[in-house]
Formats: sequence, structure tokens, C-alpha cells
Amino acid sequence: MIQRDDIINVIFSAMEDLNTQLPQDKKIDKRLDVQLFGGQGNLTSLSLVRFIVAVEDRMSETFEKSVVLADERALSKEHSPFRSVAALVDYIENLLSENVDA
Amino acid sequence: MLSHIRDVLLPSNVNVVMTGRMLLLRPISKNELTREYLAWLNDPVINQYMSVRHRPQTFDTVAQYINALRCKPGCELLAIFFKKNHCHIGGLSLIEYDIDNGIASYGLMIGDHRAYQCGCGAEATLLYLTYIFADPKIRRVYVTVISSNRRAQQLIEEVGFQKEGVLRQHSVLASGEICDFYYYGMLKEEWGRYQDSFSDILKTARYEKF
Repeated sequence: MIQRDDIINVIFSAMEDLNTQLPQDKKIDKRLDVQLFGGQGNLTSLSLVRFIVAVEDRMSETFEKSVVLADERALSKEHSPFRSVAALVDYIENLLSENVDA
Repeated sequence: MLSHIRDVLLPSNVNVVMTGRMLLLRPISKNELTREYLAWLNDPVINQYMSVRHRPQTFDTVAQYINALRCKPGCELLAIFFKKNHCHIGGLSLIEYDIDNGIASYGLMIGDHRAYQCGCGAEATLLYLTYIFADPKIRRVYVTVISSNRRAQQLIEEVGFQKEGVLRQHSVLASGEICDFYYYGMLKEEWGRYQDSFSDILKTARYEKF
């Protein structure tokens, strides 16, 4: 059973990798309430794709679970799952609990 | 209406399917020419930086646009889908393919505004650049952007395009605002230097001819 903290650790690990590629003023803090994309978020369209890819890859490596984060399902949410780290954790938890994978 | 469109659409001109991490791009078909697609083209927010902003679009004008592209070698309108469930979210036009001068150009529309939140424009652009620079006849890609379209400029600068020129007061928005027009370009050798830095996104990219 994958715990919420496990998901958070995977996301923070992906953020660490992404931060190595971002300029100093665009790095993202490893906090649940940090904004990712849109509004006050630091991620651009390109860095968001990198981040999504990194999280998906780590999910697969760490839990041997294949998840697709960016698809019609993500769009159907009233609030984007990529708006904040907390929203993304919630979204992944839901995906896993419903056993929705690639 | 759709049967009419089916009758008038020329066969696709660039028979390739581009598959990336999230997205799949292939020549648009009559199946994508829906009322929703027309609504994207006529939406003043979505079309504010597109040439279609000046005229209401109909199934006929869209078919004419596609056929005009399909009359030119190497040009096409690719529909953009989410790979997982083939949800149609936009289009990428292969606007110019000039082998005499070795240049190509493209235009991008993410029509489903919700797809902005997934970085779809970035992945579609990278898939196109990989595809077009693999062509030995093409050594330069250029793209034009209206000066007030900051989101597009940020994206193309991030993938490595250089701003090469400004056409002053070249465009008028629907609001009447007069804007400059920017030319951005990228050379094949520049893409060769940048491409590896996108390997995380492009490592699963596939290009299949049909």
C-alpha cells in the first residue's frame, strides 16, 4: 500500500532533479503548499512537462506503478492537479486508489 | 456537414504519426472537424494571436485552410491528442516547407484551454523540432509571434529559438491594439546542441510513417 508520504517523497525527489535545471530564481521549494503552474507558480510550460515526466518515471521506478498524470482526466478536474504540490499529491492518491494506470 | 467535409478534404500530405510522452500528433481528419473545434477557432481568447481572429470560421473555411496546406509539399495540419485516450486538444500547422531554401515554419494552437495546464504546447513543439530537423533538406526553422503573446515567446525562447527580427506595428488584435511581430529562428546545428537537454521528454518519442 503506497502511503501519502511515499508519494510526497517521490514528488520532492522529482523536484530536486528539476531544480538542477532551473535558474536560481525559478527553483521550487519542497513544500506541500508551493504553487507549481499558473498563478504564482514558478514552472513554465517546458519545466512543467519535465516535472510531470520526472514524477511519472519515479512512480514507476519506486513503486512499479505506471501512472499517466497528464491526460483528459487531469483536464476534467475543476482545479488543475498541477497548481500545487498538495493538489498533485491528492491527484496521485486518487489515481492509485482507483487503480487507474496507463 | 461532416459528410460534406469528408468529400472536400484532400488526402493528408504528410503521412506521419508523432508520438511523445503525453501527446500524439497526426494529420487532421474529418473526425476532428467538430463544432467544438470550430468553437476553439472562433473563441476570442484562444484565437487572439491567430490569423483567424479577423474572420469567423466555418467548416468550409477550415476545409479550405487544410486543403491549401495539403496543396503544398511537406505542409499539413496535424491534430494534437492526448496519447492515452485520444482526446483532441489542438493543432500544429506545418505552414512552410521550402526545400529550395532549406527552411520550415509551423504554428501551434492549443484549443482546449484546460490543456494549457499540462505543458502540451512545449511537448508538441519539441516533437515537431525533432521531426523537422531530422529532415536532411531542412536546416532552419522559423516561427512568428505577436509581441503581446508572452506565453508563446517564453516557450519558444526556452526551447532555443533566437529572436531575429521585429516587424513594427505589423499586427492588429481584435481589440484594435497594434502590435509588433517577432521573427524567431533556429538552425539545425543549434538544435543539435539543445536536443540532448530535452532527452528526458523526448526519450520515448516515435515517428511512424503510414
